[in-house]
Amino acid sequence: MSASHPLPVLDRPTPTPPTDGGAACVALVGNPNAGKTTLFNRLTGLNAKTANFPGTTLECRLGHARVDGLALTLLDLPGLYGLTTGHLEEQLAADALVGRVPKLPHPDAAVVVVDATALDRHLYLASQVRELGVPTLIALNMADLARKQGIEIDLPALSAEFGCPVVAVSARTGEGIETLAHELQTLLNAEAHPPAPESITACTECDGCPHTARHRWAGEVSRRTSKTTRRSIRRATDAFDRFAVQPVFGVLLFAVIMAGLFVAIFWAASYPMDLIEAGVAQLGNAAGAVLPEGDVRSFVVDGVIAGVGSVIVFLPQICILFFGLTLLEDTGYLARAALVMDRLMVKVGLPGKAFVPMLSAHACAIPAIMSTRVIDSTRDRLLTILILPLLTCSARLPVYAMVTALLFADQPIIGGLVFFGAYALGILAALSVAFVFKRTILPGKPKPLIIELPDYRAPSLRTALLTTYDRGLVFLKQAGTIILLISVVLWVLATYPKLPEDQLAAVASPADAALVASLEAQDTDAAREELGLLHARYAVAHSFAGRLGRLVEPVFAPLGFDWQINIGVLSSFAAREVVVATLAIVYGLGEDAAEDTPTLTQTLAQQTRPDGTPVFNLATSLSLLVFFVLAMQCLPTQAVARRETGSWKWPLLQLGYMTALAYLAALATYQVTSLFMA
Amino acid sequence: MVLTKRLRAVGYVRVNCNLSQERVSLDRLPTGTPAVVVGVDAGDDDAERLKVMGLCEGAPVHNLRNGNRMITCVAGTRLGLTAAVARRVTVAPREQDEPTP
Ligand SMILES: Nc1nc2c(ncn2[C@@H]2O[C@H](COP(=O)(O)OP(=O)(O)OP(=O)(O)O)[C@@H](O)[C@H]2O)c(=O)[nH]1
Ligand SMILES: [Mg+2]
Repeated sequence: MSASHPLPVLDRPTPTPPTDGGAACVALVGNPNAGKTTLFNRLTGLNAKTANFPGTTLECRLGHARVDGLALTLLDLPGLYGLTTGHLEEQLAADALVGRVPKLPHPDAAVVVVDATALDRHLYLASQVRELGVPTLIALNMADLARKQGIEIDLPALSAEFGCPVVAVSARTGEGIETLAHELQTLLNAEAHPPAPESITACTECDGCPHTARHRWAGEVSRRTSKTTRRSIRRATDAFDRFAVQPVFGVLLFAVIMAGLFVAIFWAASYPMDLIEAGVAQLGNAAGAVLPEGDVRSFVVDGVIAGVGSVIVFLPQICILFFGLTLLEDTGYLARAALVMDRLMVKVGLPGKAFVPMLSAHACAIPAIMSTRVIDSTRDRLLTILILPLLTCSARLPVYAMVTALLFADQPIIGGLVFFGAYALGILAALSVAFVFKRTILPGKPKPLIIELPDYRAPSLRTALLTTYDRGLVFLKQAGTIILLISVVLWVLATYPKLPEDQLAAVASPADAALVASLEAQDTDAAREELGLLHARYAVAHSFAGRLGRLVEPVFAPLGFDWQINIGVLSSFAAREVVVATLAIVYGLGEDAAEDTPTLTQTLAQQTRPDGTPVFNLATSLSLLVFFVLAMQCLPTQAVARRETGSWKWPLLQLGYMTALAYLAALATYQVTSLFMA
Repeated sequence: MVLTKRLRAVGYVRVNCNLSQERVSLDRLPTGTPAVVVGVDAGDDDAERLKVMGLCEGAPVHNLRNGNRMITCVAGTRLGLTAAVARRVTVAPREQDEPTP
């Protein structure tokens, strides 16, 4: 077994200690949940960046710290249970430890972060790291918790067993950090490093099962060096877990916790979102006041500020979502939730761990895709990423709101049902697509769940805040740059070529041309304003976007869309929420009216086709709704999907299948509804 | 001899010694009954994962919850797993008075 995955061996037996004043590199390694990231954050603060293992989406964090006069480069590796399992993640971490990963610094020492409250389990990995030949120090973390649980550990004895220094620390409270730094300094300056004790190397060399030998050794050492007087936390966790994973009660509990979290997110996010919206509007006004009227002003106000603003608005939701989820994960509950949900999810080929990302996707697909990192099998993770954008994110809500207001303004119950139906359609589509992909492009079963269920504990506010900051920044960087680009492109497409004022009468329909003539004759403020709207409407038709809208008319006509709706649909492929603003412009309302839904819906309801029937009849409206539920219309999401999957192949597949699905479903909706209405 | 004693002291028991005759798969082990792993249906990735997580020959285990999604206690922590995976682990129940970790 382990023969097929031999322990990596260090090429350089004695790494050179740092001499030139350059910081020594120290890798933090340990089981999941040992507290590596907490320790890392405690040492580096915000002075860190996320790095990818070259060629993969696997991440580790690199940071700089100065502890007790000691300059360090710290490397926070992903959590692992062993070095020999042959998992990509564990192999990479093992390679990084011995400096075999290009672009990552060669560690001068390894700090094994060990959870002092679960020695048996954590000493297994510690002994493997000790054998690598890298100078090793064991940080017995969670000293505060261990004390509370009445666990006493004989540090000198443990140090003797491993033949390396052992320091008790608490990454959360900061206790023992100076001692850690001091011991690290000594370790880094040491001339020679003793090899691993024979009792450890014997585990690798013995003929029997190497896991057995090592686990046995770890258990033995744990027993010899520690004793526990109180087991109350463990007992309480055990008792609660008997219920928490029950098929019925467990699912209910999970539903209640998640519903609470989401209500909190929508509630708490609404305030900062209003603030941001107001801020963006004010910024637009201020810029509009400063800049001279013309293309530059239009570019800055309508293109850059409005475009980027429409995305920044979602930042509070994303931050609050990550904050809540990190707190929840910190308590240890999410591991139970994965176990509970696994049973239901496996039926459609998804892993239990996909459930939390699927819930998050109802706020926004971007953080949801980023949070699929908890899923350890690549296939399971890809499948989850592929279906996530089908779930109703909050950017679809303006569209849902518009359509329901258009159709059922005075029938709140039916309106509510349509809303619910749109959500349900998204979920149903996601599950069905997962089911189909499981049978086609991503065959196989989800990897069977084997998950550690740690003791419950109070979550750390600091960790949650740091994670939130980190994720928020990723969102701003990734989505912000791309959205800026899209906004600019969209603005250009909708602005050029321009329609000169005096050509309006020439391009307008005969009826409108007459209107133009009469308005021009009136020469009042009201007339001028109306003329302006009329011009805006024909200017859009005249622009590239308008021409494109007409060009694709044959494609979307079977769905009941006219060329104006087409512009909305095309522009919304970058970001779906812009459709409302686009429709407002193309139907000649001006940008401001989009804010004022009653005006917008009234105007939309009055639009007629050449034959005099309303544009937004039941069939077209439902078809539009279905299209927006199912279509992949969010470039930032695609950019994040590309980042997380490491290639454009998957986001393109996403775009392809979702567009096809949306088109076919909207086609069916329109045709069937028309049949019944006729 | 000394080794056996020591192993006993930490709860690890030599396979085949002091075990009751009957062997069951882990998913059939009643909750609370202490047992020792006597075999893991070896060979693939899943088996390897189980072993790294502590479910390897000689490891003392007991179940906290049985069912389709079950919880077993091994190597000082709880593991949540599916009954289908647990079926591949064979255990031998131990006498109640033997040391439990
Ligand atoms: N009480 C206490 N809790 C701690 C301590 N160190 C970490 N924790 C908590 O342990 C949990 C896991 O910490 P992380 O730092 O995320 O663990 P990690 O090793 O980075 O985990 P992975 O990245 O998943 O491998 C968090 O809830 C921390 O707040 C500590 O010294 N004392
Ligand atoms: Mg971490």
